[in-house]
Amino acid sequence: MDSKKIEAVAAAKKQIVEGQLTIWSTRLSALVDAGDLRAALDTMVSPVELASNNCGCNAPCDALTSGALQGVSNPNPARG
Amino acid sequence: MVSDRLFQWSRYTRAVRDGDGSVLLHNSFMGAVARVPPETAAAYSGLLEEAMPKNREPASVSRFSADAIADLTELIRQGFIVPCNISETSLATKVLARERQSVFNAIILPHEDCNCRCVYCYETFARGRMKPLVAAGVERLIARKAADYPLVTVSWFGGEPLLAKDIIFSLSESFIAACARTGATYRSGITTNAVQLTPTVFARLLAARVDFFQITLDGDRADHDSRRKLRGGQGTFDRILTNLRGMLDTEATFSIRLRVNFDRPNLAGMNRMFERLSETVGDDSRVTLDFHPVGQWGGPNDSTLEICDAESAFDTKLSLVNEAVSRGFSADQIRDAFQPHGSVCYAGKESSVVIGSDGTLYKCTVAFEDDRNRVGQLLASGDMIIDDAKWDLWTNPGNFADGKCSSCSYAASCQSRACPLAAMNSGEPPCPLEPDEFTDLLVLAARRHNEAQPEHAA
Repeated sequence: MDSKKIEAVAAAKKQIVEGQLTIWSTRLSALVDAGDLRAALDTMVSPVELASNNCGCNAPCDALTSGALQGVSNPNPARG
Repeated sequence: MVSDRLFQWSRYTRAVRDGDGSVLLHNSFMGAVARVPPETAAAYSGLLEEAMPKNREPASVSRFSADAIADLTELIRQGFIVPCNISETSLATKVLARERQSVFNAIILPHEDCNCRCVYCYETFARGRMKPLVAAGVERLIARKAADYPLVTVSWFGGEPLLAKDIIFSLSESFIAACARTGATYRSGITTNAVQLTPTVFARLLAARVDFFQITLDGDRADHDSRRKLRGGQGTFDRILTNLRGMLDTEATFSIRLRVNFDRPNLAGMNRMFERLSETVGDDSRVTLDFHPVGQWGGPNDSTLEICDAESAFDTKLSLVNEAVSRGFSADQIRDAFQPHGSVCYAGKESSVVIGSDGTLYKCTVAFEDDRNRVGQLLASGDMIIDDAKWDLWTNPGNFADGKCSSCSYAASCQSRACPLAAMNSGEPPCPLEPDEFTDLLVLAARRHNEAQPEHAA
């Protein structure tokens, strides 16, 4: 990031720290905490923790049990 | 500086009311949440109302100058409000696509059998330990991807991955070396039943740079042991707790997500589980609790499982989160839903693949027996032979730009990819959160955040 961008991001983050309206901002925090865009992406998009749910779904949507999702289940022919 | 320009709500912003008269704003592209205090919310009620529908057509939102929102100008800098003259959807879609593909994620199944037979399990255990030629292919594949991607992540999954500890240790060594050669960042986690996660194994895993552990406890001892049994029927609770204690006795840097699957019968024992966990975990911030309703996931016992119905499951989950945090446990995963990419399933990502122990390539870790999910084969050379048509079913939701997703404020969090399997089965991308669930979860997450950081408290 160029210095102007860093300055703008830091100013935006300061608003959060000072506790006005914004409670948190994942994107800004990642940028400021990491100090560079690549590290920020590591923080933001790394799916390691999310990929591990053993219902198979990383989203907090409980997709396999939600009625709205029509009760999707493992279409496993071996189990009938 | 900004006073001559016209602004409007970002299409990714959505407002919900909290009970105290304040209004919470969430922006799914920024992964940001703001709280407009009651007095200000009352003064700008008309404007805030505009941002409350989950789906909004661009023509339905008003345009205003910065001067007209003098108390809310912070929201411009924070991305909740954007200039009218930018093509926000186009810009954000490009950024999100680039971010989605900035990491290569491999979910590796070193062993597809398991030492447990959990009552709700959906796996067939038909394929066993990873063959040497497949492991050689995985090693070569990751070496190539380390040269192509700035970030490589590996999730060890199964079956029970610790049945093939030696494969995890040797492949990890190779992955770490490959990433060191190219400068790629390497991260790794494991989903394990923790039965074999003794202090010695834990230390070896840490040395192999595995620093995220998902471990499951299904309530207190009796409940857990009747659900998560060894193949011979013996309980696993005490062994898991002992291993957990061993991990937490170290000063190492790692994180544990303790997944708690709940159903109707085990809810009564949750308080006892909390008490027992308090003795083991205390206020150790390395441990986060994560609650999920048991589902009929396709296993042989589905018809006998006493699962919670969909409506009560979400409320139960929220009350368990509340109980956990009031007892001092961390349950920060509730914030995941509000991050950009936070509800995107790995199966929907172009650069994520599941590698079976026999080299079969999948996209999803639920539907191993579904032919649509058998998207290719890994060769010993490290080449992936991919069926493009099948791959496309998972990674191209098609109607991100059309249909209900095109006007949805939550689109940057789910990107129409919350569950490609459900999308295929039902013909349209599922919404990961119903409107009421979104409101309840956002209110809870914001309140929890304030309580955790008193300097931000209203």
